[in-house]
Amino acid sequence: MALPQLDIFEKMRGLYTPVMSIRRRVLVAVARLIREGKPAQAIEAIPYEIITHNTPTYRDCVFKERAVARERVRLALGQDLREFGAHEPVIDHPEPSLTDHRVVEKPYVAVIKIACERCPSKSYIVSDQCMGCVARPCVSVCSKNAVKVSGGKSAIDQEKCIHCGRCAQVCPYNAILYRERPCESACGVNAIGADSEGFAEIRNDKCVSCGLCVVSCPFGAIGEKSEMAQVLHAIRSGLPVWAELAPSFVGQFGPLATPQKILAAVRALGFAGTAEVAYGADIAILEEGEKVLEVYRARLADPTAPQTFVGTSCCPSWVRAARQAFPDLAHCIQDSSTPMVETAKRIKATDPNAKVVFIGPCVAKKAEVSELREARIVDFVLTYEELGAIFQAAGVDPAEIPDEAVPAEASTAGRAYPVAGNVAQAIAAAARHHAGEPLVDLVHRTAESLADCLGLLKEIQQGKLKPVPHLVEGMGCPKGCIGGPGTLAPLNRAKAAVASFAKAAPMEMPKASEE
Amino acid sequence: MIQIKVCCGLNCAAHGGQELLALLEESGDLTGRVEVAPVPCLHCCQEGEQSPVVQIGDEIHTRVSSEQLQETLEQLMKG
Repeated sequence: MALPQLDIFEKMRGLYTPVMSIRRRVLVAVARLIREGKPAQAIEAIPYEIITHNTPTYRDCVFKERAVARERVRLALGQDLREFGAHEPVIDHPEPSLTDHRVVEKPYVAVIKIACERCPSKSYIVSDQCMGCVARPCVSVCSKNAVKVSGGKSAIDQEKCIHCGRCAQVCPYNAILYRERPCESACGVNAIGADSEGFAEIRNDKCVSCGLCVVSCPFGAIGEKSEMAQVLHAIRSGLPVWAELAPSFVGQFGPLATPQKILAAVRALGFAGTAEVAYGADIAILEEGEKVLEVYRARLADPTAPQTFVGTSCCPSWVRAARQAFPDLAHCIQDSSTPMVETAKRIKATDPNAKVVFIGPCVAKKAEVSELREARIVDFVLTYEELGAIFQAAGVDPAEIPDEAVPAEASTAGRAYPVAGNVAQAIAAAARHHAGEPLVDLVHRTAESLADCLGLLKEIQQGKLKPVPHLVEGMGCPKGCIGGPGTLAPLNRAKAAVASFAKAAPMEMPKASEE
Repeated sequence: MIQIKVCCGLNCAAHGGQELLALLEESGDLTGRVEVAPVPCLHCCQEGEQSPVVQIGDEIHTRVSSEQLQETLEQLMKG
């Protein structure tokens, strides 16, 4: 029996690939160099530490392998990539990156053109499974006369083909295949195309920095800028650097690294303190629960008024994509402070001089931080992959560190936030609690992946979705934050770890301050 | 019953160990034939180069890919 088809997000999930290996080894090498305070010139040697062989292993040429590693070093330092084809020093002026404040700028996600294989884009091709049958349904079904039989096999004229896919659908041998660039199919906002030479190109006006193209490219040709170097400098220079960890941090560093151990390991790196972002999620649950109740009551009071809804605020790529694509619905997407911001505010209230680092699964947070209304509330963003590299560089293993008692800062609902569906469940529960009644006809919907999110909004806009949900949870990453591009743990393990930590919370739902 | 210990030290966890563990745990045809245990760092790694590490019976395997693991298990089950 054939296995079910996997979508682009599922294809390489749960597999450790050479692309991941190289990416992570570069991060470790850069982190180690900065932690050890080695001179900036030592950066030049990193590609040779990563690609130690002298015969090509991954690509057609070892020099190309090192050139790709070099570009990755630039990204790990937070620098822009070099202009492809232009003569430039390998790592020109690393000094601006070796600082204790934020220097990373747009674009946060970039194509490493030398690594791009210029994959064919959106086309149907006839494979060698074609039997050249007598019935020729592929020829009959094509309204553009693009399929012909030549040499006993079908062939598709790419000039005429309009990519409707009817030929593939009717082929009894499944001999007609659809090819698409993995980066392009992973992009939910159509921000990836090709330049005049066929290299992948990101349209920065459309890109929401979700980072899913980064983990979907089988050639590792897309990367994101890191703030690891600046965070490590801030710690080295003695500043009070605090880490706030997104609720998905549990389970990311293996089954033996308990949440308490991970938090203790972060402090062992020199962070002044740690906080659970689930605390901020609790605040968002209460705020957005109240808004949902307002929408619910307004609809009851006047069923004929245009129906609005509450769009959740926690996922920055969903928020940005929704506002970009549907400006007329933008007012429905909440602009209340996100869990990241609420937690940072609490840290800054405790220590006004604190530098706050958000550590999570998310690349889009890097963009969110640069666009915050309150500047410098969050100073840096790291992914779990980058934190793992810092742990490795420092020789700190969360699995081996003694457990430290950590005060529980959040509810079950807040800790369960990183799994798709749980956000809407929690906010709806908060709305019911505010109302003091079950609100049986309260409707909420969850959309995972940007394509699904935008699809749902389109249905709402066109009036096809009835009733309009009172609450829409948008998650840019499939399965929620546990499926984010900066994660280390396979999805099922991460989901189980989140559920178990959430269950251990001292209260099920957050309590409003007056309670 | 074949005993497999999957190293869950940081190097292994960040370099393929978690994926191997998931593969072993989620592979239905190994149920009842293989006992899988995540274990603390086996200390055979240096700078991630040996990761991921798996101990099958008494034998330690380094830089294990899922393909190698499947092959080794197949041989053990036949033998």
